[in-house]
Amino acid sequence: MIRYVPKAKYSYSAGQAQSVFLNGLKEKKILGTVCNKCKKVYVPPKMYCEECFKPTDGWVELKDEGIVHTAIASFVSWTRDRLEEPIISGTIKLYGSERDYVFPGMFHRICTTYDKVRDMSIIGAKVKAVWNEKRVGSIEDIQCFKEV
Amino acid sequence: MWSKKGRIEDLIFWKGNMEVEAYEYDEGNAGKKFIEGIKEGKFYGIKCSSGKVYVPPRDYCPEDMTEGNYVELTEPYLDLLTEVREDSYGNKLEKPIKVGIIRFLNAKGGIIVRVEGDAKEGDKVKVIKWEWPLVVGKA
Ligand SMILES: [Zn+2]
Repeated sequence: MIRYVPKAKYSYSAGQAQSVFLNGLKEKKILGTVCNKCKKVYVPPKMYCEECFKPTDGWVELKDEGIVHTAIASFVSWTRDRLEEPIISGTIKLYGSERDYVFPGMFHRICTTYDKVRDMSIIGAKVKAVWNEKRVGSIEDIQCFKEV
Repeated sequence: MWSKKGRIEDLIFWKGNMEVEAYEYDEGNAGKKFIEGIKEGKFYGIKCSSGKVYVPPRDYCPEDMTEGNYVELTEPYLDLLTEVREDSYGNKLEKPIKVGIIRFLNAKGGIIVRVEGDAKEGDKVKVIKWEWPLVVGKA
């Protein structure tokens, strides 16, 4: 009988586009890629336009503001524990698209109250990123998007 | 325009260890015989009714699914040789490691070994260390 514990190390790369995006967060910048043909802006960024199927044409900086597109309150934590206070997260539509369901955006925490999620008044609210003092190039460099 | 930089220094990586459990692997009857042989300083293979010899030995002969007979194999030769200069993370090794495959005349199969000294492909070799990984040198 052979007994063995595999040493399964991994090294997972964010890739070309998302590495630039994450390093941008370190400098309080939300960076997206743009396709000059269809004018679509990608946040999170992509190296190719999925509509034109060609490489995107460069980088654009977006405001760290947007509107709440969807919101959800969860009473279950990441580790499946029951929470007293819900975690509120949702999709933030960053400015820069006229299309309803195709837009540069982020899925992140929203700093608001449970009541505003329940009565859905948070939907459409204008929000701004709350940045951490110490930033490392991570999606966690933003604490949440807070109503302005 | 392809705005890809392609430089590894510009990329973000997440490194870690996967949580994996220990496993137990049964080497089977023939595998056990082979491992015991190594401890005794011997190579065992199986000889099948067809006359073919397989090394390492198998539990069954692939031709007719009968159990063959264990035979001792001698006089290995170095069939393939290569040199490892970097570890699996791309770090340069202080001293390259030579790895090869040894085989036996009239036997199918081979054994991966470490090679020391200046043994070349085709040379007869002898085992310097009878433990895993086997270390061989020019005979
Ligand atoms: Zn496009």
